[in-house]
Amino acid sequence: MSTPQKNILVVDDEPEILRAVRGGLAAQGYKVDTAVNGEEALLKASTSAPDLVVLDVMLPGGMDGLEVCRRLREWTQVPVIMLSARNQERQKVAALDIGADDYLTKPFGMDELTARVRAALRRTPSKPEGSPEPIFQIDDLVIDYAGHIVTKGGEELKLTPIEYELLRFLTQNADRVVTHRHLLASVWGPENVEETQYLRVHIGHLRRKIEAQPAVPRYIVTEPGVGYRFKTGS
Amino acid sequence: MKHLPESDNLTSDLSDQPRSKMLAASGWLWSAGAVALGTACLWIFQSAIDKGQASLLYLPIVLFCAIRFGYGQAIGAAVLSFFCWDFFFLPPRFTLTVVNPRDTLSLFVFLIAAVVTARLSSRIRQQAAEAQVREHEISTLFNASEAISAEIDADRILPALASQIVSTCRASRCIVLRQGIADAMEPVASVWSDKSDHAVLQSVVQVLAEAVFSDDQEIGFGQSPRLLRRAMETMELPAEYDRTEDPGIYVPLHAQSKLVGVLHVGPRIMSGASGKETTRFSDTERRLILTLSNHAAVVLARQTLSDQAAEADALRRADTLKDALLSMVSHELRSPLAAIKVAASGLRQSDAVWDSADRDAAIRGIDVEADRLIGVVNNLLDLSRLEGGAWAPNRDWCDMAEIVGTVIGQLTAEADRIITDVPDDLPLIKVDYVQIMLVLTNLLQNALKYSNEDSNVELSAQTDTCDVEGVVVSGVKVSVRDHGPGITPGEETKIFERFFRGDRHRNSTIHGTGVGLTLCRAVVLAHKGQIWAENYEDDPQSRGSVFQFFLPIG
Repeated sequence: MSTPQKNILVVDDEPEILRAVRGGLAAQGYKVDTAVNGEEALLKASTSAPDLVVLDVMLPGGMDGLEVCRRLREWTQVPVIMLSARNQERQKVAALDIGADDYLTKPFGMDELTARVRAALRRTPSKPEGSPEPIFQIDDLVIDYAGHIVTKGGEELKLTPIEYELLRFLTQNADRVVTHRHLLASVWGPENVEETQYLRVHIGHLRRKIEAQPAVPRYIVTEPGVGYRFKTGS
Repeated sequence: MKHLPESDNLTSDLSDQPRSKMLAASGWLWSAGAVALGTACLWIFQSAIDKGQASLLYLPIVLFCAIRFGYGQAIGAAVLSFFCWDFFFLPPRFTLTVVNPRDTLSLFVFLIAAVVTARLSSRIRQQAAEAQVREHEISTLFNASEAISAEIDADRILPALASQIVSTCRASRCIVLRQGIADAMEPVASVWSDKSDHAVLQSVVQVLAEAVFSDDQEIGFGQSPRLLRRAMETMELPAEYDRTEDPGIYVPLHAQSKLVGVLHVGPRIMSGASGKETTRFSDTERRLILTLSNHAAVVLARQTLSDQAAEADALRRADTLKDALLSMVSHELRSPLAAIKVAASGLRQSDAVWDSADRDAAIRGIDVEADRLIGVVNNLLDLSRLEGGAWAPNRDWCDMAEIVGTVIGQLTAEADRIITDVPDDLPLIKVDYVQIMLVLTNLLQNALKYSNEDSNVELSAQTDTCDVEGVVVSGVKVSVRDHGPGITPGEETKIFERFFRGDRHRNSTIHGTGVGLTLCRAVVLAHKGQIWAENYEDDPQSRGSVFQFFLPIG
């Protein structure tokens, strides 16, 4: 894989999961460190400076995964992927609000985990805060942020200002889950964070304009109960 | 709890004590007046009437007093008549002395006749009054039992009975209690005549009822009971309670010589001159209360029996359910586990020589079987969370087309068999996105699973209205049609029951837990929607089953 070797810290209290994840990630060429509780995780994060943290929400003792993530965010922007239980959408939203970059629902496949890890690692160095790329391109879809121009297959798309803002925000956070509240606050303003129906309608319009199959979207995918993600990978 | 209006159509006064006292007092005056009137008439017509026959006029007066007012008043009238006759008409007049021995004889004959008349007629009167009271009592009882037997619902018989007692006896309250959990008495019916706050009295009733129940002794029937005093002294009554207050009546309820509960009747409260006064119940009322107590005891005993039957039934059903769960688990969990075990241990064998295709197949098998296990466990957990109320829908505005897209995006393997017809302009509906995804996923997976691999599954959605609990609401209806064998007739609702699997699939190679549709139903019902299934047959070539669900907009 890439040089130098990336260092990943995996935090989970179940030894079977730790063993499997460690093996899977090592096979992908990552260097893996593990921790079984919150205290150990914080200690290892500060001493070994990992490039990414995979963090289970449920941890034994007084400190759960959310708390560990909150403390990490006090001093580092290291990407954090949370492992959450099924159907705990509120927990996922809470994790993202605290500053987690992504989440994965247990039980997950190794392929899903490595895909998320790769996406999170790809994001970090290329996108320092405050200086987004001037042009975003995926397949035949091109967004020129400076000129506010969106083209698909060379033809300019007529987007409303709201649709453009949605697309801009989603693509500048490409491959990240953006929560409903976050999206509403940045496009419609902080007083509209509860108005999910705006999102449903305008995302629908946007999909019809940019997706080849709006009914089964490929770019703007729904993260059920949480938000949206602009997907660049397959 | 039921409150009764002050006046009541069934109010029939059984407590005639105060009225009869007033009647007695005025009776004396009326008797005296009648005698005076008779004397005056005699005085006026004395020239026409023989003074010796004055008794002919006085005797009817005595008779009248006896019938109208009673024995005492009649005797009074007789004595007064005796003296008036002597004083006003028998010579020498205006003295009480009598000179003529014949007059003396007439006087005493009159007195004896008057006393006998008074006695006989007042006894008749009394008997008539008693008969009237008894008739009243019988008609009250009849009314009460009529009202009670009109209640078919066992839960309402006791309140009906209690409200009968309150209205008939004009009691302040009537409460039926039975032994609940941990020996505490729990009220099963309570009727109060007014609407004020009864928290204090309620706990007093509770305490006294417990004492009555444990000692099997009544309170409020004559003898000043030690039980009451002991209860007042030793048991924990609220501090606000006025201990001099009339506690009312407590009757232990027996059915088949078993103590089943306590019936309490609060005292009658009248607002008299000095604030509120309580009056004692008449004997008739007490008899009525005792009779209705017997009714209450029978009802309570019956209720206890039917509760026990229901409990046994629930246990039996839980047992059947457990058996169904075990048989499902033993098949649906064990077969993927067995496959995984075989594949994994085979791959580990050090001396085995795998060709790469077999090896891949074994590894893929482990992955697929693990997914199946995850599916079964997830469905079971989701169902138990939903049914346990631990997974309330987190409702927000959603686009059904978007939900459909997400679900189809996740069913990668067989998504191309699904043909969708979802209009762009469906109204947004307020639902839990994840839960509705679960419903759609289960319905689509079933449709794909139970139909031929080369047949399509059609998914359509449209705006629709539906009658939900008697109100017509608008919303979105989703249909999933397959071209499979259809549902066995008669099983259209059963298939939504837990662990139920259609007859023809029970021993087939198609795996199923009998949980998916139950889960769908639980989700749809939690959204106040409806879900149903039926077979369709457009023509002999196009037939199968269609599963539909409706979700209201708001």
